Amino acid sequence: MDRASFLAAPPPDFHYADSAALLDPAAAKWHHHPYHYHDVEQQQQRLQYNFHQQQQEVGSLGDDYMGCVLNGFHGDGVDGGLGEVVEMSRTPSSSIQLKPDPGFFANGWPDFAPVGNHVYGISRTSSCPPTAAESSSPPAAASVVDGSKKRKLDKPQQRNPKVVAVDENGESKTKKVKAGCGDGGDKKSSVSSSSSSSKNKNKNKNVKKENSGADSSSKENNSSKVTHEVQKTDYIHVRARRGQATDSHSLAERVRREKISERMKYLQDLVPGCNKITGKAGMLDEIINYVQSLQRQVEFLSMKLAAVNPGMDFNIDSLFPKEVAAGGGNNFPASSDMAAAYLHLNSLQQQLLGCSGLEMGMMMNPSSAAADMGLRRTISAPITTPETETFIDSSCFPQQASIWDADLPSLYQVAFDQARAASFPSQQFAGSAGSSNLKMEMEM
Amino acid sequence: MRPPTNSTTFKREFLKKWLLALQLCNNHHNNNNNNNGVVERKNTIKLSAEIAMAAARNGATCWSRALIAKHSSSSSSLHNQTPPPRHSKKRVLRCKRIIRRSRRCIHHGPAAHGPAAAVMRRKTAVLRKLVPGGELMGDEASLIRETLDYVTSLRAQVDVMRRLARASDRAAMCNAMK
Repeated sequence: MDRASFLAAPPPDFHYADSAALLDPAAAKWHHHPYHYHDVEQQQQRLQYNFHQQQQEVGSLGDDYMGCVLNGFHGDGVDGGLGEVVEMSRTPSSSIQLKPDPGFFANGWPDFAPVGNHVYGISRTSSCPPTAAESSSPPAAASVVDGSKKRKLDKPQQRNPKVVAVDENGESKTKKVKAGCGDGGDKKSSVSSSSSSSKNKNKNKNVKKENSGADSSSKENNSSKVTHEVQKTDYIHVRARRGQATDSHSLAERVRREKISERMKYLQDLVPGCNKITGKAGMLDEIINYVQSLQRQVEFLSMKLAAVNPGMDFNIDSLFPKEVAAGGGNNFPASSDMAAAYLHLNSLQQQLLGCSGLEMGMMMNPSSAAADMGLRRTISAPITTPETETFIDSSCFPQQASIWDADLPSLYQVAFDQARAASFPSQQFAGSAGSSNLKMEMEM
Repeated sequence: MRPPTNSTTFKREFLKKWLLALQLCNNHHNNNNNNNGVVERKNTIKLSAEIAMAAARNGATCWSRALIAKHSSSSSSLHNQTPPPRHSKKRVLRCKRIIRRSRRCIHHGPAAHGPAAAVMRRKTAVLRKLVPGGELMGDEASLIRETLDYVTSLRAQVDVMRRLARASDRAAMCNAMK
């Protein structure tokens, strides 16, 4: 919004009203709202709240009226946001045209299903004079007139455009608005069913005697009803700023671009070193590099794995039973291999899960396996000393566990069973052992 | 379809499947009784890791399905590498390019012109080649989404593989010291 003109041009009272309405907390919240898909009901509530606020603001100043023009644009096949423009206009004579500020309300509120109100920008227009469908003179205390109308836009591509103007003005301006109301009603009947328009009118007349808050809520109901009607036909809401093209192709393109940029943002978080880069091309570059580097890493690691296990394929499952079958003396390298693998996996889990001992299947056997452990410790290399404890992750490796069960000599079998039995009592101990192992892992 | 939010479960799943795949591969090689070179072993490991990664994604994503389809189609000819279809493939590629060019001439609006757009197209094409099944994805939005998912999965894969490599490295060192 060229806010300078917005602030400078209108008469002081309106200026005050608008800026007050913009500065109220709800509006501020809108302003700072990120691009989120929200719970619809929340939005509804917040919107109602905001309308309430605005109406109170304007109602206190009595002399202004506010036109809310809600445009629902129709696109094809893409689910996007609902875009409406709230137009606040004072009088046709003094109205000024303003463009919605991209930074102001631009961060949208898509998918606003039940109410169908998406306050997108606040502008005052003279090109679209507020031909209100309904205007009612409130009691003198409130001096708020509420009217809602629909108006067909003459854009050929939009099938169900809908404009709801909410006018709030003093007694003096009602007639002018009423003149527009019949017009708007007719146009609206051309858009949707005429019954709904008459319903609208009736509602508003009933509402006439009520106060401004009730006015606003009933207006919400009206517009929600109308938008529900429209939304039954598959209905895509796309925001269009003033001056943007509104034919269906442009709208679809805009939706597509928004989707892409949103996902790019996610990727930006994911790919390291992508934060500083602005611009899609640079980001794509970075993403490509990252994917390539990851794929190369996979290649390298598989090469390394292949090189490390020279005899046969790297396969700890088959390697392990084979070595067991080869003889009792050969047990220890195999077991340390397994244990190392398990250690890594366990520490991996631990890193990710924190110190929740439940997930970690690693534990020390406090009882009779301790001697066994000590024996193994003396035999195996000093680096792998903590790993010579039996590590079991039965939740993670059911087949592994069965392999252990089946193929291990009876000594290991006993250790395994005991470990499984003692898994829960020794949780804390296991946690501490795990952390020490983790540290070792880190420094390596 | 969301990117794998819980990377722990994904890693676990991947590891489980990978070890299973490795076991199967090893059995296969044992049966064949041929002494493989390092490169072949590496290929086997890589293949199994890729398939396991794709399988761990449960077919929820385009890239995983494409990866599995690619490997399953080539797994029948895992040992006898078949060069013959290459020629026809090349011809198909050329045809596709021509078609695309003509389509571009017809369809694209004013937004798709200019050097910046050309750069973007080129880079998108590169990305398409990198992500498995990227050629099949129609629009850019889904490509980016799949890339997001693929990158996450790749990271998990690399992490698991690195840990396993380190473990086996250590085991080998153990052996050497003993």
